[in-house]
Amino acid sequence: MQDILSQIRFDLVTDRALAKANADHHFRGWCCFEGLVPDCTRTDLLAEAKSAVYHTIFNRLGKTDVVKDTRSAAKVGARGEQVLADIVGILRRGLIIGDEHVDGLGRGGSYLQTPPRCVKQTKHMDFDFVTLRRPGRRCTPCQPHASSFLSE
Amino acid sequence: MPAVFYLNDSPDYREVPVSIWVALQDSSLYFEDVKHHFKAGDVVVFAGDCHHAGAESASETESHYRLFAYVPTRRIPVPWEVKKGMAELAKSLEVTDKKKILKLHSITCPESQEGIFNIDSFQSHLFDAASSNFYRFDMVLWLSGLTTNTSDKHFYTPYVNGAPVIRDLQRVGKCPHFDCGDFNATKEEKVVLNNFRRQCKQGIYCQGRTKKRQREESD
Repeated sequence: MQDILSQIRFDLVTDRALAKANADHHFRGWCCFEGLVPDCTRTDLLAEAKSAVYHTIFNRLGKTDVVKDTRSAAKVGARGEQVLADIVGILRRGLIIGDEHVDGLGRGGSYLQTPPRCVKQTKHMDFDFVTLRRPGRRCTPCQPHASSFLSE
Repeated sequence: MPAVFYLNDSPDYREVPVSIWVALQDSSLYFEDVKHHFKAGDVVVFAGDCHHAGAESASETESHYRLFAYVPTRRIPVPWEVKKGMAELAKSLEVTDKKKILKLHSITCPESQEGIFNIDSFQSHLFDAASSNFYRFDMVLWLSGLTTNTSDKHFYTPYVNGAPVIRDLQRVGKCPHFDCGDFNATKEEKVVLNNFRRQCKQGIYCQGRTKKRQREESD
């Protein structure tokens, strides 16, 4: 029976649902947990989202002037963070993510807002795998920044 | 100059960063140019190398809202850089003390050895890999600097008739979906994967695929 205080419908996350999500995620690239956020939580989050303070984001590499891709984002509150933490826990249990996914590296959740009459966004990937720019601090063995500071 | 690395192949299973998207209203998302509809309360999780396009807002007057979070890995961070128009704000938040910068390079790097990486320091600073500069964390600077990739490389195949394509069906003697090798699984995780495989054969994708491999003349 669902815990009345729960933010998430954990009762829907059966082994079967996890197995399907795992297969979908690794074969198709995405998976869906239907109805995982109950109405009571969802309506609260939606009310919070509507009253949040938004900042424009330009969701395209190197572009700041593509109106089509314009979205806005705002920081979520404690309840939203709890929902997201619960989802991360489910993903760990379902072996969709692992030890490489360290809690906190994503800097928390955000509400996304699409303005009225906004059309389909440019197709993209959220992470950069192809021309991944990795900081010099991770370049071994040269470590250019560290050596330049030490020599001063 | 910061070092630039090129990854030619997608990372292994469970090394791929993901994004979490929660529909707060009935909504839609495009995956591989196919529009998928989701109901309020649905949770969608997609891989960081999965092509998608964000939600539309069909309404003439109402904005559309959803909850979103990045789940990056130690190795693959959320793409972020100081963009045009934010230089002034960035300048005011830039860390200029060289000793502090040197320390930040190690304690804010998720790939640093255990005990050196400090999640609080990571969260209180932003690092622009393009300029190799550190900034004190600021929500506006963070949100304004988020970026994405528009590569044409495709790592996933859309389902055909609602299920993944399994090549060479005659040779499939067991559910191929949860191979322990793909997951680099621990002993405990192998138990989970075996359970998943059992679930899959009992009606997810591999129902009826219990046919043993055909004996060949060379066997």
